[in-house]
Formats: sequence, C-alpha cells, structure tokens
Amino acid sequence: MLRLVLAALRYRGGATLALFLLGVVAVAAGVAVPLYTMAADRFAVESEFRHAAPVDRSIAITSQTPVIDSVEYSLQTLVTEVRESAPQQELTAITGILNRGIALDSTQELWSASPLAVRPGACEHVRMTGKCPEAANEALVSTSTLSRLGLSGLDGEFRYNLAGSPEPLILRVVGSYEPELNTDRDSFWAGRPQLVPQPLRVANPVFTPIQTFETADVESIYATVDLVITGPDWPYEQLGDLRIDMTKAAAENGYELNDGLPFLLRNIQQARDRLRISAPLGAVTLLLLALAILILAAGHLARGRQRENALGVLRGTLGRHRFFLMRGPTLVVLLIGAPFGAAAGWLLVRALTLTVFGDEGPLPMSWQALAAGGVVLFLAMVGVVATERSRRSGPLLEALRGVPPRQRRTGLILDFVVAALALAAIGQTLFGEQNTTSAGVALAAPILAAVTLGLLATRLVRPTATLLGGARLRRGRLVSGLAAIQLARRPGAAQVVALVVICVALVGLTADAWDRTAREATAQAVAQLGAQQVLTVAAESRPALLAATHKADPEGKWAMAVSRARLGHGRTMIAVDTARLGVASGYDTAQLLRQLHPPVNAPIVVQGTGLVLETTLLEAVAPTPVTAVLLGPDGATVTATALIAAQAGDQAVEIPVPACAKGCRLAWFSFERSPDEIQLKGLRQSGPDKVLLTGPAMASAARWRASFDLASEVTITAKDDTVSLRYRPADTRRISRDIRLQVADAPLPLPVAVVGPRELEETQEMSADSLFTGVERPIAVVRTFDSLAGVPADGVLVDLEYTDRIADSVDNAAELQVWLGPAAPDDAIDRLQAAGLVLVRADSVAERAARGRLSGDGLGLRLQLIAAALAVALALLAILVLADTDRRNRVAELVSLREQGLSWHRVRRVAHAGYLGVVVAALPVALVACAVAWWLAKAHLSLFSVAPPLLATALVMMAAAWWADHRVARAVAAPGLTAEAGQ
Amino acid sequence: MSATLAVEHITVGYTSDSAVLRDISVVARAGELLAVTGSSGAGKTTLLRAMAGSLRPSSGSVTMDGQPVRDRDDAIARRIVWMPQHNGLAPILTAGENVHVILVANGTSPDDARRITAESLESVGLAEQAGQLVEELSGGQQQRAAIARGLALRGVVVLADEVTSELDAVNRQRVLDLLRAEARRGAAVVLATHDPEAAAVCDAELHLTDGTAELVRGKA
Repeated sequence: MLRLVLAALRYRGGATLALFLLGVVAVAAGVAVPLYTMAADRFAVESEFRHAAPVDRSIAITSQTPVIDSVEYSLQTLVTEVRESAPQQELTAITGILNRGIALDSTQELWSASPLAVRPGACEHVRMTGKCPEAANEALVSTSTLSRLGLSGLDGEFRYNLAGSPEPLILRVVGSYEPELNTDRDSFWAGRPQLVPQPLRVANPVFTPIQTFETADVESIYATVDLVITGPDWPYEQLGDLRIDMTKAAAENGYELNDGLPFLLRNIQQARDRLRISAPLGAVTLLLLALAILILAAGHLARGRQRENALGVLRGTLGRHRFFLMRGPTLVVLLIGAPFGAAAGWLLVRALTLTVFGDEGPLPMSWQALAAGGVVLFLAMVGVVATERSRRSGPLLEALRGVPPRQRRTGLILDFVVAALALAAIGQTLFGEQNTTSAGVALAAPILAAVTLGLLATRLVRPTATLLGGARLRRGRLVSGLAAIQLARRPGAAQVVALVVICVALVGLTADAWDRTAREATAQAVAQLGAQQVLTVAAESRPALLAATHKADPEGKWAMAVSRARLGHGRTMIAVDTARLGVASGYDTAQLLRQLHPPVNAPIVVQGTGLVLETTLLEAVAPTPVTAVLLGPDGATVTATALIAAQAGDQAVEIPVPACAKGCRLAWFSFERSPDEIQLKGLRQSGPDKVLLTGPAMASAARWRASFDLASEVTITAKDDTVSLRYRPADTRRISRDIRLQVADAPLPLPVAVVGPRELEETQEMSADSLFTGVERPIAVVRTFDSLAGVPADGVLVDLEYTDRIADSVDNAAELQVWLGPAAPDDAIDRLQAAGLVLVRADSVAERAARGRLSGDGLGLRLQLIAAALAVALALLAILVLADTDRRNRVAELVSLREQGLSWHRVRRVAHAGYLGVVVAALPVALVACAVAWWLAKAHLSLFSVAPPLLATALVMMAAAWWADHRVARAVAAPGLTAEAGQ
Repeated sequence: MSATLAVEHITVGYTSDSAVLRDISVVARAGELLAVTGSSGAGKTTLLRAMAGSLRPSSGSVTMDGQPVRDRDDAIARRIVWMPQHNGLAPILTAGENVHVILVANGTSPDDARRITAESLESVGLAEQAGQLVEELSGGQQQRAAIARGLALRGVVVLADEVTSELDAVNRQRVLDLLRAEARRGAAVVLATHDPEAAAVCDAELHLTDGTAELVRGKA
C-alpha cells in the first residue's frame, strides 16, 4: 500500500512538491503567528519600558522619619514597613536620605541650595574624582556646586545649614563629580528632580554617608525608599493591587508617595491593545488563506484522481485501500511537511526578531506555537479529506468520464456567510460606534470586502467568460475565444481569479497601511517632539537656557528654548519662549504671544556694579543681613549680601554686584529674619548711578509680592512711599530663614493654554498649579487646544520667562530642551554648545518615527506584511499546483486541436493565454477590490507607496502563470509528443 | 476533387530498435473506402497516423498524388482529414465549438463554419447536443461529434480510426453511410476497424498482422 501511495506521489511529482510546499507554508504560518505575536508583545513591553522615564519605572516614597536610637535604625524601620506593602522581588529598593539645606562658603556670601543626600551606590552613577565619602562629614560635591562655593580642589571644607539641625555641619570635600550626560534616564535616581545630578546645575545634591546624619543633631530625617522596576519582566497585572497597598500604607504612615507607574502601565497597555487589534488581522487572514489554498490545491489533485477512484470502485477495491490510495498521498505529504513547516515558522520569526527587533535573545519554541501549527495541520487534513470526499460523491459514470463536480450548496453557503460578514463589518465601519471592538471590525472590513469581491468574481467569471468566448469564437477570433473559454471552463480558473483578487487586495491594503503607519508615526513623532529636532540640554538655569538660545539664534529663526516638567495631576507642562513658537508648526504666534505673554510690570534691571537699597530703620536692632538675588545677562545667578546697620534712621545699603555691569534682573531680596523695623523707600544702582525705583514706585503694591511658600505668613505693607514686610510663621517648629520680597514682574494668575475642552477657559477647574516646583501658583486658562506640540495629550503650555519668574527659585530641576525648526543650520548644535549649553541627547522626528513604526500598530502591521507576502507565495504555489495537475489534459487538448488543423502559431498563443489569461483577467477585478478596500480603510493613497508592491505582485503572478503556460506550450511543441499522445 | 494517397514500403516504429509496421504498401483511391483491419495492436492506428502525416516513417514514403506528405501541417494543408481513435475532442469545448473551431482553423469563414457545424452535427444526430460540453456527452456521442468534425472538413482524404467502436448498430450504420457518402463525393476514405461487418462494406481491405500487411480485398 505504501509503495502504491509513493508511486502516486511520484506520478504527480510537480503537484506533490507544490502541495508539500503549501503544507510547509501553512504550518509555518500557524507556528509563526503565535511566536511572532509573543515576540512582538515582549518587544512592545521592552520598548515601552526602555523608553519610559525613570519616574515612570519607580515608586518614590519620602517620609519625615523621627530618629529613634539611630538614623540607620529609623531608615531600616521605614524600609521594613514599605516592604510589607511591596514584597515583590522584581522591585529593587534603593534607600537613602534627602534633606534640604544650604551649602555656604566660608564667607557665607556664596551659597547653593544643594540638598544633602545619602544614596548608597551614588558614586557609581556619576563621574567621580577623588574618593567616595565613607566617614562622617565627608562629602562628594558636584563641580558646579564647588565652583559656586569657590572651592577649587579636594579636601576643602564648607558649611552646610541642614534644615532641622540647630548647628551647621562642616563638611569636608573628599570627592567631586560630574553628572553622566544620560543621568536623567538612569533609574537609579528614581526620577527624583532634587536628587538627579545635572550638568551645570549648582544645586546638585551633596552626597555623604549615613554617619554624617548619625553625628548631626537632628530629630528627624527625610528618608527615601525608591522601589525601582529594574527590568521589563514585571508582572504588570499586580500593579493595581500594589498601588492600592502602597497608597493605604502611605496614608497610614504619613509617607509622601510619588510614582509614574500608571503612565508606564498605560503606555504598555495601549501598545498591547494596538497590537492585539492589528496582529490577529494579519494572522487570521494568513491562516485562512493558507488553509483555503491548501484545500483548493488538494481538491484539484483529488479531481485528477477522480477517474482512478472510480476505477477502484468498479474493480471492487476495498474502501480502506481506496481511502489510502486517494487521500493517502496528500495526507502523507502534509504530515511530512509539518515538521519542516514548524521549523520554517520558527526560522521566519527568528529572522524577524533579529532584523526588525534587533533581539538576539533566545526564541524558545512555545507550546502555543506548536499547538497552533498542529491545529493548522489538523484543519488542513480534515479539509483535504472532506474535499476528496466531496469529489467522490458524484455519479460513478461521471467520475469515469472525468466530468467536473457540480457547484455544491456548501460552497454557496460559504460565499453567503463571507458576504454577510463583510456587509456587517462594512456597516459597523460606516455607521457603528467607534470603540476598541469596532476598531478591530473596521480593520477586518476591507479585507472581508475584498474576499467577498473575490468570491463574487468566481461566480461571475464563468458565465461572463463563456458569453465572451462564445461570441469571439463565432466571429472567428479563435485565440481570444479559446482563451476566454479556458477562463470559463478550465478547472480551478475561477478559484485562481479569486486568489489573485484577494492577494492583490491584501497587498494593496498592506502597502497602504504600511504607508499610513509611517505617516502616522511621523505625525505622532512631530506631535510628541514638537519640532523637527529636539535637543535635551543642560544649563545652569532656565534663564541661562533662554539666554544661550538667544545668543546662538539672535533672530529667532530656528531655535526655541523649552522647559518640560510633569505636573502633579498627570499633565505635562512645556514652558516655551513664546515669541519663538513659530519654530514649532501650527501656532498663531502673535495671538499666543498676546495671550501667554501679556504686558506686566517691567523687570527691575541693574546695569551697574552695585545695588543701593534706601532704608529707614524705625528703631535700633541687631544688624540685619539682606541678600539680593539677581539673574545675570547670561542667565547666571548673582547673589550678594549686605548688612543693614543697627542704628535707627535712614541709611543706604549698598550691595555689591560687580557681575551686573552688563545688566541683571532683580529677582528678590531675602532677609534671614522678619524685618519688622525696616522700611524700604528707594532703589538705585551705583557704577554708574541710576535711580531704579523712587518712593511712589517703591510703594506700589503691585510691584512686590511674597514668595509663594510663605504667602500666607508674610505681609507686605506699602504706604507713605515705603514698603515693608512682616513674617509671622504659622508653625513655630518651621521657621524660615529666607523671607523674601519678590519682584512682581510676571502676570498672576499665570495665563496658560491647555489641551482640553473649550469650557476650561470659562470654568475655574484649572486655577492653580505648582508649575516648576513648590506650592501652587494661580493660573488662568486663556486658550484650549485639541493637541499641543510636544505634549499632544494632557499638555499645558506656558511662557517660559514668566513661569520662571514666579518659580521663586534659581535652581532648575526640570528638563531643558531646545527645539530646532526646519531652518536650523547644520552647525546648530555647535552654536548652542558655544553659547554655553551642554548637549545631553538629540531626538529627531525621523528617529522617533522609526521607533513609532516599531510599536503597536507597526508591530501588528509587520505580521500583515508577512501575511501578504506569504499569501502571494501561497497563491503562486496554488497556481503552479493547479497548472501542473491540469498540464497533461491541456497538452492533450492542444495537441488534438493542433492535429485537427489549428496552426502552431495559434496553439502557442492559446497555450500562453491559459493561466496567464486567468491572472490578467483577474487583475482589473483585483484593482476594483483594492479600491473598495481602500475606501473602507479610509486610505490616503500615495501612488509611490502602493504602486510598486501592487505592480510586483501582479508581475510575479503573471510570471508564475506564464511559466506554467510555457511548460504546456513547450510540451505541445516537443518532438515526438504526438506519437506519445497517440499512444 | 479527387486524390490518391499512396503508402509505399513504409516502416514505422516508436523506438529505433523495433518497428510497428514493416514494409507496408497500400493505396487509398478517391471514391473508394479502404478498410484497415487487424487485431488489437496490429498497427492500424500507427498506419493511419503515418498516412495523416503525424508520424514520420523510418523508411518508405507516404505520397498524395505523387507528392510526399511531409508532416501533419502539410497533410492538413492538403486536406487529409484525420478522425483519431479517441476522438481528439477538446473537453473544455462544446460539441459545436469543437467543430466550429476546427472549421475556422482550416480556413472556413465564421458564417459558413456555423452553418456547416449545424449540418454536420445534424447528420450524426447531435443537433440537440451542440451546446453540451464534450465531457458531458456519452462515449458514443463524443465519437459522433468527432466524426461530425471530420466530415465537416470535407477532406480529400478521410482517415477514420475506429470511429464505430463505441456506437450502437443504428449509429454505426449511419456513420458507415456517411463515410460512403464521403467516398461518393470523391474522397479517398480509410477506415481502421476491427469490426468485420464494417470492413465488409468497404471497397478494399488491408489486413495487418504483427506489422505486416496483406491486401485481402480490392486492388493493390
């Protein structure tokens, strides 16, 4: 029996080989789909994780913890408490201390608001010179802080006023550090703005060992426990419970909790959702097409064996023998091909993960993939058996004569079901509600429509071609007439038409989807980045960023300073140089400039070497130091302190500011204690002398304000051409030594533009926000957008200069950027660096778009791309199987016509018009199907994108058909064939 | 319209080392029916193929009115009609289309071809089956369709290979009458058959035995 089966396979060698390949491709598709989907899902998660900000990969817990027994013990107690709520091993706990304070030089005139931090391992995350501090009062200080404090080398000492400590600490510098350029991407810092070291930042943390706190006389510490997800293999489904537990623990124990995990989870979920919608479409299409083609080819082979089976019945061959003889060859071929298919599927996905994902990690063959391959094989075998059975079900006499089976009701039912599905999907697409389910249906509707048109073509092609062929023959047009007749009556021709239609439509849809995804990725990249190129930079301060940008691009043609910060309620703020919004496209700069940058009090600008404060002391008190804080022309902070003498009466206090010869903007005056007895009645500069504010201007209430953190505790009184302030702390345990008279030179409330409904402009829903840092400031929504450049969703747009002025801080913890427009010169980065900025990294639309194409829809689309390519390969194989099975009959037929007088010239043309004619005839229908599918997919066609793959598909199919026809023509022309045919 | 097809000492084989026909000579004359008889495998079909120009003899010649028949194309041009043993119909065409296509291919105008097709199918009793696909016809109907196609061509020489093998008595007689009518028209008709009754109605009979021939009736 086996020999008979093998003999049957050898007899139809070409068809057997093609069937083998079809089986291999079908099983490969079955195995590849789950393998690829899993690999793509893993890649999507890894990609989102890799690109997530550190703050989104961690839970940062801060707790003001009383020191009991020892600082170490207090810290460990907190860690133990936190770990009870978050025991997951995938979370790495980084513990430390982050206390506020002021670093001062020996003269106490130079200072830096650097926090004092304990962070084990910090030395490995910065570029260090010297040694890592190990003993009490040893410190690792950033070079920019050292520079501010006037310390040039190691082993220097400086004073540190630790908040909560009655006595200042004397810290010894044992090491200095420069932050790594990508430090803002280092999850070690857990995205803590105050902790992340930044190039040029003066207020970088001072690192010290825990022993420093042990020896310091502090009652409490600000302990930090950062739970960091170190890898993408995190059980994200546990995140909800974890956050609930952590929130509860925070409420019970008074922790401050800050985590961006919901952002990461949301992004991962969105990527997965998009993948889950787009990937199955390609997968299901490929699998169904593979099975359909396989069963079609098997059915055609069965028709070739129809007569053999009938003879077997006549000769009384046993049923089981006939079963093996008729179905055995096909089933054996499929079974032999299955392992090759599984291997091919794995190899295909391996090649994809290597080339597309750049993933060289292991790709284990999963049981799901093997099961899917097994299911495909099983369905193929069942389909083959059922098809063979249907081929044998006609009258024996017809089987003996090779009469093709009649159209069966099951075929019509299948057509009807597909058409009904397509109509339902189209209806849902055109008229249904838009949600996740309808998005999936909308994706399926175009291909279902194409399949329906393909099936409709199989129904119409026979009668149409018969009518046409008959008419041509009656007119004596033998070649075209016979070609049309072949199309109408050649076995499998109608199915080839359907295959061509479906495959071409699939290719057309995929090409358009590919093009559209690329365009969407570019648009999304532009929306996310805000400009063609975005440079993340480091600068000493936000004004320094503004100044450097203006210096590099004085005319404002191509560079705009931007500062990004995440706000507390999930929105992201971008503070921009509003006048230069033209660098980012789509803004009416003039109107936004009026809205976001309205005229306000002119800043107080000092262009001299000294600032003279006219004061009146109502009574004699201890000498009072007053510090002036100014911003220099390059954005550098200028601070200087002078003493207001003890005696009562008028006095002019000169604060030397030699760095302000070219102009500084006064930010605030700071007093260490409440200056109840001091009245300020004038402000002027020296070197050269110039009056800045006279009495009435000085006494204008709108000219001054308190700092926002002490707004309720400081009272500013302006009367009789003088201004004075009084500080009454609300909590005597927290007495400020930085009581400020801030210059009011920014609008309050601060005008903002937001992404959101227009109603936000009318309501008080958004009336205050912390903006860059600290307590909330009043804001007013003056404009709403559907999307904002750089912050397409949940964005808040503000003016950088004004927002900085109300930040009440010269320190910057926000992300600094420079947006480059299309007119940026090639040496733009060099110019900006020459202006004093340090380049951290550069993002371009092209790079971001490339990354976008490898996420969500893009990953699913790659499966559709594979589906389309494999569908074309399957269709080619199907054409070859059909042609090979039919070749003997076609040759005999053409030889007969030739022997009866049809000239060789005509016979050759008829031979070449066989399957080539079928493919050519199918192409117009395919284009119609494409057009319908594109319409349903709402395609924005780009000829350059869709034409080449369509043309290639058409050509390759025509080539395969031509080759099959050419074999027939060559056989008809072969010498001696007529003798064989006659035998 | 009259011609003589002469076979002169031909030897034909499908392989170089064995001959199916050896040194066969026979003449088919215009207006006569020549029967070629013999048992199965005797070489009847091979002889008719050689006469039709479809097989080239290894030695000897086939001539028509003294001119050698070079190949099948030459034979077709000289109107040597061949009705092959297994009808040689194209299964994807209807009975009518099979006749029509060959008529047009042989130079008949489309209008005339339509008329002649109808007449020839009528003559073999297949007028109502003209629109049926060949594969839907019975074996006998297919054979008659092939005969109708051969008759429609009005050849100078008509070579009929076992054309009555699947016919019932009535249709066999009808076909023999039609072949006789062809002879009367002036055609030289050769009928390969193993049916003694069919052979009996012919004017001459060439009997083949193991590749050799013997004229058992008629003129040499």
